[in-house]
Amino acid sequence: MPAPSPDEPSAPSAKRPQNCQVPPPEDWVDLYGDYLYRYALSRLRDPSLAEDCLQETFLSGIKHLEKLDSSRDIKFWLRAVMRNKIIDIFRRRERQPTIDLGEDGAILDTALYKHTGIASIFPEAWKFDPRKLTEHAEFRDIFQTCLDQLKEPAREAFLLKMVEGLDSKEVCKVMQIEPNHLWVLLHRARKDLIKQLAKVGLDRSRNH
Amino acid sequence: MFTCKSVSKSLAKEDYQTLPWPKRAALKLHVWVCCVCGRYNKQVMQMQDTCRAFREQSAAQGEPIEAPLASSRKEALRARIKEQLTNGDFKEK
Repeated sequence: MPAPSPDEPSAPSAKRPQNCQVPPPEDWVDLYGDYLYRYALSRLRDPSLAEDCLQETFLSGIKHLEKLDSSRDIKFWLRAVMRNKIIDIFRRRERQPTIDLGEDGAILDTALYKHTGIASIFPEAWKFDPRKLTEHAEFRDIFQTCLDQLKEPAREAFLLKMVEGLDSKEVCKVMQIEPNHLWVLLHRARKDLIKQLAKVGLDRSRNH
Repeated sequence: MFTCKSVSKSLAKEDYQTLPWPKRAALKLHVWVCCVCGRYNKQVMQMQDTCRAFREQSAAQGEPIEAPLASSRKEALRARIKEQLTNGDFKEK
């Protein structure tokens, strides 16, 4: 899903509906402060970074408010501004010079894969379909908790690609890694995440 | 009909939800029957669907974290916004 860019010029727009008034920036902290702060914290995992990100988001929002498409809800527009700020923070992070591919790199190391692009080592089968959890009332909490337990940099790669919806090229650019490293990190994140989700899912189905 | 290559490409672009239903059905059929890429791509699809649900629920309801922003920090933010507005770096819509 391509992210809406708050820096894009606003589309020639339909008349703003009466119920879609933009609240004055003085009220943003009360209206959207907690919502946006939780978003930043869930991605950055550092309260002080999340606070700075929130301030930057509000100030940038004020600066570019004339670009807001009148048909959009400002809450989601500010969230899109914040998403770009979060990606910038990831981009500025200091990085390990190399990523250890470990045993997950084995799939990419086979001659068949190198020459044909076909993976000849099957990934381990999943005994649990994570989609079963999405209907659960506490799905968001469960998924966030499991996501938080992933190790860096697999968590960061998974967040950017699968949760924030960046395409692979952009993720490689942000994280300054090669495409095969990204593939391994995503594979590792999926493998660890499914273990966590399956544990929660199976526990819950046993208890109900 | 989808080939292994186009299935992977489509999954990487995460556009299969927006494909017309006959194509989407063909893609699902391929992932279901293909022994080469089936298991891997099926896992990717399952995780993408799960992440999409998380993304949509989080955007609508906020992230599920019990860590409110401190009121002193809120006050500082309000002051900073006021300062920005006074400096005139604000074009009202």
